[in-house]
Amino acid sequence: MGAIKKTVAGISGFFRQDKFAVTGVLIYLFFLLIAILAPWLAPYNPHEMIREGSQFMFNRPPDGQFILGTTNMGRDIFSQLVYGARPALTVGFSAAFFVMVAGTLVGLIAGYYRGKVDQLLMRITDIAFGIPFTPFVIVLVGFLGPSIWNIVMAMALLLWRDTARVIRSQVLTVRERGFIEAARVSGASDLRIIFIYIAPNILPLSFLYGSLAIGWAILTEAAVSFLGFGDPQVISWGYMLNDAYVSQALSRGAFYWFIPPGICVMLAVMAGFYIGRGSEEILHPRLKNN
Amino acid sequence: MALLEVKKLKVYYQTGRGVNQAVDGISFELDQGSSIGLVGESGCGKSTTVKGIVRVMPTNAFIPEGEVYFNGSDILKSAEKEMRQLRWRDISIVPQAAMDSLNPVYTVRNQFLEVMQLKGDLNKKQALVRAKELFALVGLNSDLLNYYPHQFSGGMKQRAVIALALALNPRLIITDEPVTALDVIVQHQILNELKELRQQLGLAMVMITHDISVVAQTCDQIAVMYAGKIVEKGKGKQVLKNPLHPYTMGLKNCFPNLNQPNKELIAIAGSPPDLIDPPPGCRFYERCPFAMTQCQLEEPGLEELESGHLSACFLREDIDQYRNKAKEVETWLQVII
Amino acid sequence: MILTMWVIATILFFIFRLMPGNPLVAYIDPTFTEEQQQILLKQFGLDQPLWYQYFVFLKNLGQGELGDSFFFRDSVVNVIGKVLPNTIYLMLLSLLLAYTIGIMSGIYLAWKRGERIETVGIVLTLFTRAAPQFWVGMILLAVFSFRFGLFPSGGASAAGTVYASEWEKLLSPSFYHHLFLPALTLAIYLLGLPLLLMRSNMLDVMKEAYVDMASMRGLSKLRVMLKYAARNACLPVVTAMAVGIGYAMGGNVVIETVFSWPGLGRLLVKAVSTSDYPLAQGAFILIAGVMVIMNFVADLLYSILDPRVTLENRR
Repeated sequence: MGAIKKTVAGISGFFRQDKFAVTGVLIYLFFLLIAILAPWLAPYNPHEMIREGSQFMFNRPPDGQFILGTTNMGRDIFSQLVYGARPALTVGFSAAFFVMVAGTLVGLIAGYYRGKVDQLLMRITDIAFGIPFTPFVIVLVGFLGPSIWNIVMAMALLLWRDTARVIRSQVLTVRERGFIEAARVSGASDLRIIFIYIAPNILPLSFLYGSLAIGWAILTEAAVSFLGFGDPQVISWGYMLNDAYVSQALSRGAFYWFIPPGICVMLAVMAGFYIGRGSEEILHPRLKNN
Repeated sequence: MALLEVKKLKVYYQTGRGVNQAVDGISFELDQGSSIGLVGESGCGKSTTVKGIVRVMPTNAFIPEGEVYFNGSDILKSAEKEMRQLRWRDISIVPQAAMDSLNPVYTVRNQFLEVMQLKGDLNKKQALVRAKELFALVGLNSDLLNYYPHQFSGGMKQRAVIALALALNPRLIITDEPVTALDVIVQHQILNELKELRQQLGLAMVMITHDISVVAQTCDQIAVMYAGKIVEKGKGKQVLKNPLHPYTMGLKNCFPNLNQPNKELIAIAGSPPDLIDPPPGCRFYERCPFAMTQCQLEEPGLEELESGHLSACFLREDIDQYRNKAKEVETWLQVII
Repeated sequence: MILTMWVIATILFFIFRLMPGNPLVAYIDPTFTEEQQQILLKQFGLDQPLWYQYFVFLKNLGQGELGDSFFFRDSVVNVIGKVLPNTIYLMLLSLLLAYTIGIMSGIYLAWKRGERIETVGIVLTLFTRAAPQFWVGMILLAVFSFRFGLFPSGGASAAGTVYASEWEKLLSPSFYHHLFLPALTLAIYLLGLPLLLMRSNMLDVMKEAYVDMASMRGLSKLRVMLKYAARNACLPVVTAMAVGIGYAMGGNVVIETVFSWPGLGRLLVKAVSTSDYPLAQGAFILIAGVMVIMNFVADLLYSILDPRVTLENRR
């Protein structure tokens, strides 16, 4: 219990001193609220081809009825935007969850056991760093089939690498501290030391990396959907951008169609940046290699 | 006329908590060819004084008042452009961290030539000849010029930095802890060389150090600084032999004495006051074994007690008695309690 | 380096072989008879056991042989060879733009530390880092190409024209006219890393004694900033370029698609969407290879720029 309390205190203490982080959390909460309230916020069904009488509402510019206008197939853009928060958050949070769990475990084990285990795990991490991220996700999703869960899996397969590296080096320092030594002397098992004594000290860090992963995941989902490998059943921001792109929204200058989804993606990614050490990691990026 | 005359110089830092009065009205004079040692613990404002004199300061530092006359003109009033002319041609510096004072990605030669070509109006050939000359002067093989700074040992780097300071025949050099990072043997060699060079070239020197024994070896005058102020000033021998200020007495105990190598070293307990909101009385009050009530209320001014020997302390009589007490460990221990 | 490539190739091989369905689906016409299909399978070596296919694959890879594309009915090496230069031009130009502008703006922002312009600059940079590249490309297209007609809307050459040779392409102004918008888009995305890194390195380096000493030597502020501060601060940025290339490769895929730029990234997307296994495999391996090699180059560059680092003691 003490360990959990300590973790919570660590995280909340961090938020209190970092205005950037608070902004990021607020942005996520905002999107979360929209995702939950989507059926009430959206005036139309996002899939519905709206018509009045026998007249389809194709390519309507924004007005009182359609806040952001309609698509070339007569769908309400604002409703799509609102519903788009759902897949974005689903993808973001689930990818971040896997990234946190996998990255933290790898980092903990490598850092705690050191020696051969560490070398092997870090070698694997190096290789994961050698794989180009976006192309990998595209190839995997392209061949596994377009579904949101395939996208999440493809991202999770690579994104854990940053977290693992950082956690490992943190564990290397933490394990040298006195209370770890004391635990070892008192006969605590390795597992107990790792999860009860070390883990609480590095959890805030893995949360930070998890929140960065949320941003990356949303961005990547958008890119994959834009390229046409997205889940066709799901209207995501990336899907909207793809739809706008292939439907000649650019040449028609339908900015009301493709600007808003991009802004949403951008905000989500920025929120991730902000939380993930708003000030340190982003404003003072250090080389991951060092 | 003095070559350098610092009058009531103040250098403050604007910090998040308030204004740090790092250097608070110090004055001293230095004649052509003579030398003065500024002594004090780290953080007493020695290095800040230097930065103020040449006006190369961090952006949050400012000079609220004071005058610095160099060769008769107040250089605090001169424009940055004129200041830049003055730097290195007239006043050069052997910095505190000689190790880190050369650009690591250029050869030593590159940095010598840069200064001489840009500031000394020599052409490349002349500059190279001069650089070799300088290296010979400080006892370095001129082949070393082609090396990068990190390939030098500490002593070599220190010599190179001294050579660089002499490059343009300045009239004044300021050395900031010139030998602190070196081992004792090299320290002595370099201090002696510095002394000889100075006499040979007729240079004036301001030497900054926390080690009072170093100044003893090299300087004509000593000014002891504490918490941004000069607390004692006089001829080198006077100050060392007959210190007037309790702080100087304490400082003498902190370093090994060549004549009494086995004598126990005594540290002065406590630390200097916070200069953002300094206490109203004597700034040494908290740590002084001879403190009186008066000291807490009123700040003692710098007064000439013997000819040419000044002290900022209310102890003005029977100083011998205090000097003897100051040699005892117990005297300094009682401050802690 | 070779180990990394081997692992990547192996992963790819198994991803492609273990996919559900016959890898030849895209290639085989429904009108083919069973017999014809068998001949084809044989031709591609797909009737052999998996481990045998794997060794053949590795052997071929070692010899630079990547098989035939199903879609283009040509060798993968040829197909990739045609588009690879375009990707390289795009990357080089955008890296050049991004690192020149990024490093200079980083120096500028460090110089203007604490002023309003610094905050504005940082916020703008964060926007460029967070905005989806393809979306930025779409906006640029909609504004500069469709609205004002300043730039072509896609491709590498004017409609109906074909460059006779690589040289003719490089000498043709029209090529650069086409190249500019995609390169700008990619550069906007890449800009953030060198800029922020340069700025924070500058702030660190400016605390170093040698920077102060350079000022004390009476050198001009510009000289101190450039030769002393910036020269040292840019060292890690060079290494960051390796990371930047990784980003560029990922960014390429979407940006090439937005601008219909005939490059490796667009080829990969096409190969994946037409289930062209050999081509996708080849394109991916090449992308990974470029990344691995650029990492090595960055290491090398670093050791040249920083005399304190020799290649041996960095390993």
